[in-house]
Amino acid sequence: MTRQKRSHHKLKRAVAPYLYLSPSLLIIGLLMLLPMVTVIGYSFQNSAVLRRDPSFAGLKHYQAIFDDPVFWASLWHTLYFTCMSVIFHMTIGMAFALMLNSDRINPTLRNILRVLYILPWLFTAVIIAVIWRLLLEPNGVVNSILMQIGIIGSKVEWFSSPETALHAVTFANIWAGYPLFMVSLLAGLQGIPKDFYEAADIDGAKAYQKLIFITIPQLMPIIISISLLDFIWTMQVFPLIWITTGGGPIYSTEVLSTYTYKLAFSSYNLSQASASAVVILLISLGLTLFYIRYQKAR
Amino acid sequence: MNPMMDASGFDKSQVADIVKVDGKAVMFPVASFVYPVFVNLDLAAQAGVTKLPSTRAEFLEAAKKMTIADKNQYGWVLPLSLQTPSGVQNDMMSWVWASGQSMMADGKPDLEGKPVVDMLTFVKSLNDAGTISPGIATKTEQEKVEEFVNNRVGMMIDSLAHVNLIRKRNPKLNFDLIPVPVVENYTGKRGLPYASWGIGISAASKHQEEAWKLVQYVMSEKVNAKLVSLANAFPGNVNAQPDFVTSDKAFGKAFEIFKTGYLANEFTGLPVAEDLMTQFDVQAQKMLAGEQSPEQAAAAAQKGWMAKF
Repeated sequence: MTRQKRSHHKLKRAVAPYLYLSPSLLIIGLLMLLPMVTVIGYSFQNSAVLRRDPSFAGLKHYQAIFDDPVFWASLWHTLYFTCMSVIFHMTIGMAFALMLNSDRINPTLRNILRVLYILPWLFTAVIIAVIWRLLLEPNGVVNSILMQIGIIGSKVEWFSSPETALHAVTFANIWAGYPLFMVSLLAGLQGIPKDFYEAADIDGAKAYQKLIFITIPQLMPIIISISLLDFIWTMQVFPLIWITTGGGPIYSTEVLSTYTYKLAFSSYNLSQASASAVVILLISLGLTLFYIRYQKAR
Repeated sequence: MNPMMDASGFDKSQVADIVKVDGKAVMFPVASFVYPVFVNLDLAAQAGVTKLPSTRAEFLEAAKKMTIADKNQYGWVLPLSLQTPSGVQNDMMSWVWASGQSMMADGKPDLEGKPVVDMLTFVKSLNDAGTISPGIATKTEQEKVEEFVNNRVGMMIDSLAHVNLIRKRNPKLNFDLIPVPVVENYTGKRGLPYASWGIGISAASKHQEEAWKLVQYVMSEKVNAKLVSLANAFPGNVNAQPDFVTSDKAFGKAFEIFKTGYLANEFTGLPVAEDLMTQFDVQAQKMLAGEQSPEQAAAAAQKGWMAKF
């Protein structure tokens, strides 16, 4: 083989992997990187999209949203909505997974419960929003039941009152999202070797001790992975909040996604909307990096 | 479109409304969907409301009489969802326009003026009297119509375009249409809130003359009448008469209201109209939640609006 042929062969070997990767890289570049870079660019322009010759704005739009008290309220609401959702998704998901994994429940009943518990996962966000709007409306079923059993004395405007609206949308999101945890943890529970529990039984361990010292440590990788993913997804929830409350009443359920949407499609201030979107991107990116580091460490 | 109107000798008096931006005509409403008050006649009769309200005071009295909260029945419905803040335009500002008043002064917002503050005070009085169906802050226009259809509210301000929908949803519903009530002692022409299909000519168009010919054609009496008859809408040409107004009693009544009043929607042509409505909506919600007075709500909304002008 001549020297020239050898170097040609080496080049082909070096380029081949990139050629195989090129379709994926092209799609990622067009569908993910290009929109992201464009939005980041818009956040530094005046009258982005609306003018043909937008001028450079520097950090003006970031300053504007950081000076806006509604932005900080949205950030706080987003954190509350996300943290409460993740905590309750995990708690309810764990409780139901343990129930479905238990030998003490009749297999037929267990199968029925399995179907029932997973139902919320099958509905789209729009259906979930409509269901809870109907249930929680002032003249709805929930108020009627709570009044009949004497828990509340008068009709509560769950979504329309500034005092209850954020809790109500968080509740609806908890109801919609726990099956992900339940299914993942159930799979994890079924993978824990029975020997651990048998050894614990011989040592005279009680049920709560087995839960704390065997079950939870064994499930910890799943719990952390799913919690991080849930945190990232829940932070970006838009349709459920938009359809149930529109970010109101007043600003009581305004979250970063509805705040950004209103800037873009109500105020047509696409530059500030882009700046707000970049802030969401940075928070999500931080969480994603944390998730990747955790996965690598495993 | 001013130069074209002047050059062709276009009769401006035949047009129901001319939408202007910075004093220049930019759009004619071709087909208008007006917003009168729908009244559930059965609920009104049960409540002893024999004369349908013509003034705000009469409306408040009628709403009080029709309200039986224990039966989930209310006098009025006000949709102020931030998802679609058009309730500000259709259900709140319509009270201002009905009395021939304005939310603007010299092309700028005048929300702290008497007309808007009085309207907010009036809406607050309806709320304080418990006559508004609960859930105001998240209620949408569709829900408003559903509540009316299901005999849960006695009165609502709504688009005439919903007449057929209401009949379809509840064929037995006995309702009538009245103009939006006015302030005491007002006898002038009533402004009628409306939404419309509009027509204008792009400044970038290379065929301005041809476009103007099309505008004139669509706005001409016979063509406009034919077009709005198909759309169940009211004409952009005041001389045109759609055929359904003679064949349908409700539309006929609404057409009388339309002919004796004038089209009024000051949001059309304003910058970021939806954002302005959202800002006003938030302040109205704060007022209804008891966090501020009508004057404070008007002042806060004025401040927000001025930043957009």
